[in-house]
Amino acid sequence: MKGFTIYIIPVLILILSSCYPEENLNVPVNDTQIEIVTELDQYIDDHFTTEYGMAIRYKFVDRYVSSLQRVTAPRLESVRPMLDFVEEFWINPYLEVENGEDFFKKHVPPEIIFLGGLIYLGDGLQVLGTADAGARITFTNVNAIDPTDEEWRDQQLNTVYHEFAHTVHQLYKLPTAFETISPEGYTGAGSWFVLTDEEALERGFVSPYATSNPNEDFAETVSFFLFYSDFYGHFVDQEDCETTICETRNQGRDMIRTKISSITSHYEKVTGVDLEELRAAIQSRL
Amino acid sequence: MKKGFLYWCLLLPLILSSCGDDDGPELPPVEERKEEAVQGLIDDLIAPANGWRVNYSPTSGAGTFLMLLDFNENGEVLIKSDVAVNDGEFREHVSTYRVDVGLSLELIFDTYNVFHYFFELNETQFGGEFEFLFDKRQGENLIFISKSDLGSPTTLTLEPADGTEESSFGLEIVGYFDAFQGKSPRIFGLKAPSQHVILEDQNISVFWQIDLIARSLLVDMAGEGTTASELLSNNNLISVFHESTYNFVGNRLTLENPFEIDIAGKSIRLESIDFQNFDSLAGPSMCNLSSDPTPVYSGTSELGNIRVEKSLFSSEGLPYQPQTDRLYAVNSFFIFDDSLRSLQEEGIISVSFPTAQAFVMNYGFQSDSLPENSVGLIYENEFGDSEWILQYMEPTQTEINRIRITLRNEFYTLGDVDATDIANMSQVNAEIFEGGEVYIYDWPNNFDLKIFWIYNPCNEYELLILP
Repeated sequence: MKGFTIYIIPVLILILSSCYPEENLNVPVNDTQIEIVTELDQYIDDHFTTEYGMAIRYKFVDRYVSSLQRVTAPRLESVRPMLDFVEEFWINPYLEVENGEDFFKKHVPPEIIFLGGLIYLGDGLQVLGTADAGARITFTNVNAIDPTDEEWRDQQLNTVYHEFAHTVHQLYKLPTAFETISPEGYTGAGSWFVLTDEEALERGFVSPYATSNPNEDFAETVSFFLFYSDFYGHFVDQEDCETTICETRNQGRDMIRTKISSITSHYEKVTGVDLEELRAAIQSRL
Repeated sequence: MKKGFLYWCLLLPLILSSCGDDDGPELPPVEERKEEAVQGLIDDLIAPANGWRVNYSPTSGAGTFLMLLDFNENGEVLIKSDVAVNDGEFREHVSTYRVDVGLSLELIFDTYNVFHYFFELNETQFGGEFEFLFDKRQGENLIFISKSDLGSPTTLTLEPADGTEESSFGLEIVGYFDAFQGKSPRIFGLKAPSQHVILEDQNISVFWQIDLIARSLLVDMAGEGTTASELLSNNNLISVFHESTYNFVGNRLTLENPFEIDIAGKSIRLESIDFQNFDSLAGPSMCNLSSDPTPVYSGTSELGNIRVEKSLFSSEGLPYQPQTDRLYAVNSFFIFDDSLRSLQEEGIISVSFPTAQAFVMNYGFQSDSLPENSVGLIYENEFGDSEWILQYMEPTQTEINRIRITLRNEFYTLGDVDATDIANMSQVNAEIFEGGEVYIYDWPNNFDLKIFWIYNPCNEYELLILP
């Protein structure tokens, strides 16, 4: 009996599995592979998808955010200016520097999302920008586009350079002993937001968010180094101190200087890109 | 063994028969059926020659907004609406749409349009929606249900337009009502303006607060008389608290929950007003120091002639009463100028009293030392001690929520206060209470605190005060 049962069960499975030969459970849901319908779609295809392998998603799909996050779609009129912004302030600087184009094309995330507003979490908190394991970078607040507005511009640049920096440590690891430069300063994912900018600097970090863990520290430091015009003045150069608090800030600056040195060497070694040169290319546009 | 074999033999035909297609032998594959359903809805959406008419109410507490939607086969939708915000952005605009199939057919406006505007209000807590689940066809209409509403789902009914709807857009009336928003408190978001609705032929006045964003209003008070001074001298204003949503069609405002009241021996029922004449300069000034005009909008209703004026009166300020056992006070940060900058950070307080801690407003306070009616500051001196300067004022007069402030040249001081400090205090009070009349409101908040919100129409300064 046992042998019979063992024999007949695989037969039954075979019979049952052949019941629905025509139907495929792996049906893409909400698949928005962009059909080229408009001039805008054609422009995106020519300038981004074909050239860099980047799909630019400007039409809202709810999978772009989690179920508790609420955000609007971009205005159609904002999409082209945002594309120009991305090209000018993110892509072109890489094209200008040695090995930059090669690095960019090899590492650019395949999916870029435009969202119209900020992402609201319903508890008064907002998400400014997100990335997903190197697979996607999300720009928020696209409807407020104004590259002459420093606050808006810096927020977008912080997002894109931060998220793009993650791809480097994900593929090539952090610089050697990076996490030992300011080991006492890390706070954790749930408590970084209690710090002020000043307190983060005293700990040797460019922002409170950088204290959440070494990966975020790496990405934030790269990002601030690239887009923040007064990076050296604010985060590196020493103050003439007469107070203890000032000396503490200078100690923080020492640590940030060490981090920058470590990061630029690491970039040069694993990507061939000179971050100083890239910073200059970006700063020339601001 | 034989018994088991028999069981399996009996079972096998049953299993095999269950492989039959319950949906019929000729049904196409699921993907094909999905595409067919999607295309079917798209075909329906693009079918009407004049597009669709929608009377959209984003939430149960909001009024009705008229929209015309014209879908095309390229995934674009032309939307016209009577939503006048953002310099008329939503009067006529194009966005894109998509029909998806998930748990059911969905209509998604996937680039920004007027639906997104409602969705994004109040940091997305207002209750608007831009993703809708297809519910059913009902006659010629298409019925959708909001997909992710925080509250009760909203129904979106698409009715075939007949081509005459554009004349129903109340664009002019919407613009004229927006003109009443000026000279209103705004530090915590625009406060719904108050309007004095004068039923001229009835000799009756109604005060309502009209929310121009949500199209809802609250009838606050009513009384016999047609002018503010008449109403105040008659002292017969009664609280009403009648809520209604409303809509604009052409030049008509319609209360979706008509207002009814028995007052001065009359039964009053107000359902709609047909407006005819708008004059942006014919209304009374809100400030007794100036003649800054305000709008007047006149029309007719079933009750005869009606005149709508701007007002700052509201029953919200009625709980502001004398406090014998404690003073009214607030952190001195919460006093703002007409540019909404804190006076402690950039204005006169930052210059004269940079170490100010609290603003005090005594109203009927019974104390052995402090003046019963007075206003002033508590600040820190160079040694870290608190010093007080309070300027006496005449006993406060309140008329509904209007407070008359008459400052005296007499001061209470505590600490090492000199003549310069007193002169500075006098200047601070004179600036904050310029004109001598302010209006007080309740500020709803999430802190479980009673907080009053004071507005000075002469200089548009605002401050908070806590009992």
